[in-house]
Amino acid sequence: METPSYLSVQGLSKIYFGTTGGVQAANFELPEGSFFTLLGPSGCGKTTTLRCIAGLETPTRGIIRLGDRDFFNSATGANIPLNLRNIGMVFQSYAIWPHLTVFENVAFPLRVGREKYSSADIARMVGLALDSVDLAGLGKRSATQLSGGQQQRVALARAIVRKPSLLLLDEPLSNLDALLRDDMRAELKSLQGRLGVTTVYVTHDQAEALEMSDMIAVMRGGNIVQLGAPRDIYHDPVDGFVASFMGSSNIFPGTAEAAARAGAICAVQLVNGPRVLARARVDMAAGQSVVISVRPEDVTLVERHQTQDSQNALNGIVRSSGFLGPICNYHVEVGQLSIQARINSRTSFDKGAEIAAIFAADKALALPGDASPAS
Amino acid sequence: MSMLGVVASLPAYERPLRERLKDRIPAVLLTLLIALIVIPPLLVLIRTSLRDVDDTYYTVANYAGLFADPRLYASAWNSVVFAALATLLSLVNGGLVAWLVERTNVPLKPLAYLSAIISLGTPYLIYVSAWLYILGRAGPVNSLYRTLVDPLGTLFNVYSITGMVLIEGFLWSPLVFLLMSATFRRSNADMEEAARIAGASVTSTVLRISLRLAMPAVVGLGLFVFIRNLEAFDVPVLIGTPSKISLLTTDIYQSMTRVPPQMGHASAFSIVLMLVVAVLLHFYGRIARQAERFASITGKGYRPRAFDLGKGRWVGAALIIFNALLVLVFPILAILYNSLTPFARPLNWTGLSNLTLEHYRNVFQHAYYLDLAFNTVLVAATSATIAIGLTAIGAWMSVRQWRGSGMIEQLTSIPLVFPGIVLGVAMIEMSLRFPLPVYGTLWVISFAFVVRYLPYGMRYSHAGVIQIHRDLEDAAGISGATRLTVLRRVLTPLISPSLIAGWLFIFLIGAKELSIAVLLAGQNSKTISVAMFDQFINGAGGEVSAMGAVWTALMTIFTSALYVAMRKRSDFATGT
Repeated sequence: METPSYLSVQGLSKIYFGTTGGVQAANFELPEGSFFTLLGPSGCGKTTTLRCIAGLETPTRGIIRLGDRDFFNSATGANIPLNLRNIGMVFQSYAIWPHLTVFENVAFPLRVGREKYSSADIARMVGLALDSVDLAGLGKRSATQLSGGQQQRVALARAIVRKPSLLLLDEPLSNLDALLRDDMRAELKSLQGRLGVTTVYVTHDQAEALEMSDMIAVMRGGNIVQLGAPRDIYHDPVDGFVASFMGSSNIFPGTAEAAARAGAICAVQLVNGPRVLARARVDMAAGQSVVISVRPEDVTLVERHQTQDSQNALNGIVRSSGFLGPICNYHVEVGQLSIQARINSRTSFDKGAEIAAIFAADKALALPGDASPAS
Repeated sequence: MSMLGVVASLPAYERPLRERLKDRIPAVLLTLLIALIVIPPLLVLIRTSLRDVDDTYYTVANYAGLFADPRLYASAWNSVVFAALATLLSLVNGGLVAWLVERTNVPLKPLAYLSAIISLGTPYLIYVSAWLYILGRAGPVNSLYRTLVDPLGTLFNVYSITGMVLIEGFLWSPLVFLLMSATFRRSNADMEEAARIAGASVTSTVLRISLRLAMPAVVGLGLFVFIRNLEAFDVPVLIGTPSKISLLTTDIYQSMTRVPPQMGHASAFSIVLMLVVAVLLHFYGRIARQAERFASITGKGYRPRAFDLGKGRWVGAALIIFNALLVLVFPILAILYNSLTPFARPLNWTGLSNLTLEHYRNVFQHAYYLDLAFNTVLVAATSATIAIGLTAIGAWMSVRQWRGSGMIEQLTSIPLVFPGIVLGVAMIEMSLRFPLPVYGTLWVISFAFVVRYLPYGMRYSHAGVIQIHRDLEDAAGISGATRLTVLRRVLTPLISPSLIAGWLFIFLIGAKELSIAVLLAGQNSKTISVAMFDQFINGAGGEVSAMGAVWTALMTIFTSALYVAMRKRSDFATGT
């Protein structure tokens, strides 16, 4: 490993008997100061993983280590209670205490923790925390008089006021309206950078994860299916699920015609569809079932006579189009398949137009197995 | 990955024994404490009911004697008729007013609330004596009849089962009103509006939609009131006993007050009554759950649209006024008149021109009355504090599913099966056996009240805790707070409105409780309601009225506080 691991989660599982939720096995190692995102659809186990790290849930087995401290270790029986872990956490519901002022909400961790602070220290630290979330001067407000965005900032200030060793964020932006969410994303990321605090972020929003994270773990059914940098996950998904969860809407099942090594171009016969060329992500055997993933922005629509140089040219009919301003979204019927294409909106095709959808072979990924779409 | 090998070999986590014990201890301790409060009365009753007169051997003679006595069946029949008719009367009266107030544009709505709330704080005995006067031989109703129709006749004999039903029905109308208005307030106007848009008239909307939707709630409430009427003690003892109409509760009371008291007989009787109540409560629970499903709660800030009654609104207003006269104005006037006349006499000019403050002077001059008030407040406040304190922590543990908290809710609901008089019998037996001389002290009364009001405390506390989002506590834990700190600095302040409301409610019903206190009170441990009962039996009606007027005024202040605290909460009435 190039950087020493700071937060280490090994073999973490949390089984809820009689349910399908929970975590089967989660493994990851994070360097200090990194921004790590657990990404996945609801019920994938991302929040459970976070709550295990926080100490809100007791795992069934596994090791959670921060620095040289075992938060939890089922081999040694170590289990530090949540109130002694020195963690900052922002809840999806914000969990701002309505009976306390903004100041008292933020000061709470300083008042109740093991370490005792003088009231001058408390005032100074709360002031700093409120400053860093742009709420300076609002300390005297009652927490219930705040807007949703402000409450969120209070929750953030409360989470960082003690200089926690770890910051946990549980879908903190999901209750904000779209505009505010975009602002907060950038702000949250820059605050995290300034503080240098190792952060674990939970979200189901792939755009959020891509923009903010140093590393992303995509989860499904209680397992981490892919762990990597945002670019890798986006451009190089391990399977159809990750591809589709990361916004690729053209996922088609098929069969590899011949054996191919990882990275080589191979021919794939699509189920109920044409034959296409694609880049094999892993070594493939002849006759292996695969899925093809093509991002809609990698598909171009042309008149049928202009397809000379294309590696993949599929004749189809425009079934619907949606104008999104800079780009236009088309659904093209190719045999029994429906292909999505996103192209510059200056070019336009009518509904019913007979066209060809073209895409380069190395923009089409041949992935192993499973074609089920993300929920 | 090489790590997977390590991972697969990790053992499942087992909480160390010490920690598991530490986790369970708080909830287990509380469970034991509550069990110690609610279980012994039950055991003592069962044991005594199975012992012979001299407490030397086990026998079923008490039960045999009970069932062989034809008077049991007469009393049971009387109790059922009394409870059923009184329930019907209060349901029709209270329910109709509740519907008018909550769902129509009838005028004078505040008057309906005002009468209900003032009557909540009035001791039953005061009501009963007021109505006894109004409907009695010398009262205004009969004297009006003699003046107008038949100078020697009597229109109405209040000392009859009809009189008892009327008065008990009036007593319960205000509470039924409050409970029903909570139901109507929660019901969804969309369904009624949908019926109207589909072409239904107001009448057929009410009949086919509103009533059908409210039916489970109405049946549940009816059963609840029926149970309470079956357990009723005040009206049966104050009216039934002088008119030789025996009911189950008064039979138990009499076998306890006979010399020597027939403990075994009373205990067997109590067990039988308790079983009946338990069976009824079981059905009540099922109906209440059903009603829960029918209650169509919509988002916040929603206000059901009122029906326009047109000219009919004035008929509705007349009904509200009539109801206010019945539950508020007439009884209060009767109490005031009786407290101001030197001796009981008909309402006429001679009486009105000859009023005196003598009774009030007596009440305020005697240190005895001050002691009574002090006793009452002490007992009611102590038991309210203990009941709310225990149930707040119990509700917290059981809502958050602490390890070992599984029994807490069931245990706190056990006392629901004790009719007041039955609990009184159990407490007498327990205090006689207790190694310390507690018999006849305020301690025993307070303890009995704690037992009786634990279920009420639980309803308020539970409703309070369940509204608090779990994250609010988790956030405190993450911030470094211990569980005790979470309880003290986060949970308690957040649920304090529910706790205060529950406290006030228990305080109020404790302050006017008669059936338990009348059996347990010693010479120096009387409460206001017991003293009023004694004075009433001794024929000192004037002083009872004066005492009642003062006490009602005091309690009305408390009730108003309760109402203000609960104004925004729809579970106000369901807390009964």
